[in-house]
Amino acid sequence: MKRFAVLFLAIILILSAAACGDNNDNSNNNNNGNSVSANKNVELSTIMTDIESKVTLPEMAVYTDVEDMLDIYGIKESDIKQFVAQVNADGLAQDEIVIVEAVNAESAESVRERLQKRYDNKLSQNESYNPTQAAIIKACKVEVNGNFVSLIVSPDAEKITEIYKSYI
Amino acid sequence: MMVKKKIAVLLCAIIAGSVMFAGCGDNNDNSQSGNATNTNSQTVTENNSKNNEDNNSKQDNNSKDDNNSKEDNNNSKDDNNSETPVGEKADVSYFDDCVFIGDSVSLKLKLYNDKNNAMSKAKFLTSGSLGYGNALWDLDNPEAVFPSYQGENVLLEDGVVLTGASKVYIMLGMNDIGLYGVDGSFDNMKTLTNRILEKSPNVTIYLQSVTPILSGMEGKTWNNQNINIFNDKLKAYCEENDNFKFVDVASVMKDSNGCLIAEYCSDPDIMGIHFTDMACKVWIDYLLTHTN
Repeated sequence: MKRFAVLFLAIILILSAAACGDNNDNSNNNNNGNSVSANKNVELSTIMTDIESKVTLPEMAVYTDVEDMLDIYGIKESDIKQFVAQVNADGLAQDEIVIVEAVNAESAESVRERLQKRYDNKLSQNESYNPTQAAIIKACKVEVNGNFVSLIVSPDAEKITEIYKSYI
Repeated sequence: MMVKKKIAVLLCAIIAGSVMFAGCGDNNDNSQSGNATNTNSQTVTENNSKNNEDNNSKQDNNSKDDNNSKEDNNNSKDDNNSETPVGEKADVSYFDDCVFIGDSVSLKLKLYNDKNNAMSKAKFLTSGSLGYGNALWDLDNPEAVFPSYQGENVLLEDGVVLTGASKVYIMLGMNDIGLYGVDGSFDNMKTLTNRILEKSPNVTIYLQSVTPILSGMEGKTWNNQNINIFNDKLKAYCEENDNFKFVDVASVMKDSNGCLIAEYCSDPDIMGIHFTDMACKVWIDYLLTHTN
């Protein structure tokens, strides 16, 4: 009887350890497709607020109308679940923070293409007349994390990206 | 001894049960950040319209600006039809069917508008380094710097069609004079505007004068003297051609020496040509008082 009890408890311990291990894997797997899109509690406004509190940004033009995403980036409303978009307002420095949560993987690829084009244009425009800004742009890139697509151009891009990725 | 064994078994059961039902639940909570209460990010289901009221009141205050008296002095001799005469200040909705073509100087105007909604529904085809010359290149030229319309690079003549604008304001030349000289830049202007009119024959083209360079930042050929010569050629061209109007924005940007007013310059140590917000306000005010 005692042996059965000990064996029973051992099985329970093993099963509980295995179950907890499965849950840890699911919550940390944030860089593979569907697991990120299943995280429905990421609010880009929260991310942007956190970025603004921890990084000194220049004066930015803030775009809040989804029509701006089409006008500026060519990103269709139907591809967007949520977004934040800001551009340096002085016209010289090329700071730009654009984060889009696409509705699905296909939309994310469409958004990526648009932001990559935006990036390429910024670089080509600045290479000839503003090499300092061109160097900043070259150190930055468009990134895809599941259904989240970002273009972050800033001298503080590394820190901004770190804050952003801590949420996804 | 028997009792001790029973206690040990019971303790193991309690520990196993606690781990199974409580420990695994904590891991799920830690994977998510706090929910947003800030409304800065916009979901597609929300429709946010830009509020024009504050900007309209700003425009009214500008009517008392000292720069208006400067404009009156500059335009008292403007009797010909090619130059837009000073008149009553138009409503900002005047810009609704306008498209502004320009380089990085005009890009600042666009961003000023994006931030302040100061020009209503004005469209912009602006790009840093753009000029009359490289605006004539092929779209697939790897060194081209065409502006984009809804994310796609476009030739300016096609961009005008896409915007549906009936008034085309152009401020180019700053990136041309040093490369092509005054005459070469002027020839490129004619070619570009002809292309625009071929595709949009009913538009009116408003050639804006090239704005001055800050004192001390001029180059050998890229200087205010050549800019003034170029602007005079633009003005004369507008006098001779229908569909063209000359808008002398530069007249309200110059100091007593003909250089860019220092307070209007945002890059005194870089190029000495780009504008502050104050300069953009003056620019917009000038446009709205020279609409005919």
